[in-house]
Amino acid sequence: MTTFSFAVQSTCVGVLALLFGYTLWLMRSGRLSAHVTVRWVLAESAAFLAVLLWRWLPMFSYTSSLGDRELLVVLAVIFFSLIAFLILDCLVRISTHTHQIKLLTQELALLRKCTEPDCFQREERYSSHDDAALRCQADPLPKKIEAHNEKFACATGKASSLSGSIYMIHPYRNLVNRLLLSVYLLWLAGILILAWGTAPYIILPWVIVPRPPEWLTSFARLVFFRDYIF
Amino acid sequence: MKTLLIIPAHNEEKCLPGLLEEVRRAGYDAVVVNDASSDATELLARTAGFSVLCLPVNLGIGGGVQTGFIYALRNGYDVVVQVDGDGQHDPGEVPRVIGPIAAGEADCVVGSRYMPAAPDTGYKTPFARRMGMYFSTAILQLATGLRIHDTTSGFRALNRAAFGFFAREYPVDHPEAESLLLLHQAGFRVLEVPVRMRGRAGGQSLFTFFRAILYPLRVIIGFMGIVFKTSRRQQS
Repeated sequence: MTTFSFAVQSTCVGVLALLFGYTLWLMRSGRLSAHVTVRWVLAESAAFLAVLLWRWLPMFSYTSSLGDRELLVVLAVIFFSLIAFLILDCLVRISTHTHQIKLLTQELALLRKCTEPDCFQREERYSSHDDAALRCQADPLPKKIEAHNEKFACATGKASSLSGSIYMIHPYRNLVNRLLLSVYLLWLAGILILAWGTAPYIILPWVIVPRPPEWLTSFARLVFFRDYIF
Repeated sequence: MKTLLIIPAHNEEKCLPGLLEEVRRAGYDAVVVNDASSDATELLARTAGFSVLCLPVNLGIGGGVQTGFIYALRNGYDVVVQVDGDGQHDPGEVPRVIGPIAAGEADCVVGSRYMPAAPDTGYKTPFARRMGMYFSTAILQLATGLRIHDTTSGFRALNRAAFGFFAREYPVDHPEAESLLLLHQAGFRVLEVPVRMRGRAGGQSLFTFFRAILYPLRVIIGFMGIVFKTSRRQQS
């Protein structure tokens, strides 16, 4: 194994160990469900073994014959494919939970309607909207609604904490997710541009692919610190 | 025939009182689906004496209307009519949309502004919405052969079989065009009748410029999902 390959291997093992520890900590603190954790831990263990046993994998001899630059690109592509797969898995879970929340919300609304006190069931309707507005001022109905809402607050939570879109249940987490996704996409773009420049020699050596423009390569170097790494 | 008007409303305190007043005069049963409004929508609907279904989180138009369908199903209604809470739909036009259902000619009737026989010349459609509508009309015709001129119209009447079907399965986002495809795939008869509509009395439309840009993509993906699901269901 070349020195550069060894450095890459050590970095990968270090990063994976950190990721492994972080995953376990998330599970222990109850922020990550056990079902999701199992998948992540399995994926991380597989990646860990792959990096440790790199020398004995058939891919090693293949990438070694290509050179270190390509080795890193192949590593990066595999890594991102794995991450994309795991993200999709999480999205599936989020979609399932969104559907379940929708069903629960609907049932909650229908049940609240069933359990509403009689004071809400007005037998006669007001002769006009103005009349309704006038009676609304004098009538204790809003207070009753408020009392009813307070009564059900234990089941539904306060309106202020629950109002908002179903897709934005926790704005802070949503923001962090978006930020992480942006960083990931930026990084992925950098990798793809690098792969564009080097991959044709590995994956499709018989196809002539035009080189990316200079400004795009500069952007990729900036994102991926290519000059530093290579 | 027991008829229920389903009025989905999200922050419609400006438009709702006028609409509820018209519904009261017309004498229909109505349920207001308050989709997590932060204004006085719920209070106004309750003080006007109508049933209110209060969703604690915002489900969007699809989830809101579906809640109304479930309510109608559980309370033994024969026909439901969707009426937008923004006041665009005139309750006076309800007999026109439930007429074909009462006559047994259709399972779903769409109130249309753009039928060539009787277009609603008084209604001004925003450009983005018009483009989205042309697109979904074309896609629907390509997918099913069904020619509906006003695919984005939310003014619809459904019989018990059709809204019972929607109580189980209804699209979430921009459900109008997708729901027509769903009905067609399930073998329901869809009909279009000309109606008059009004402009919004207040509030903001959900169909903003950015949503209009994404709308074609959403429609295509939504249609693909429905077609795929239906074919898989038929296979199994």
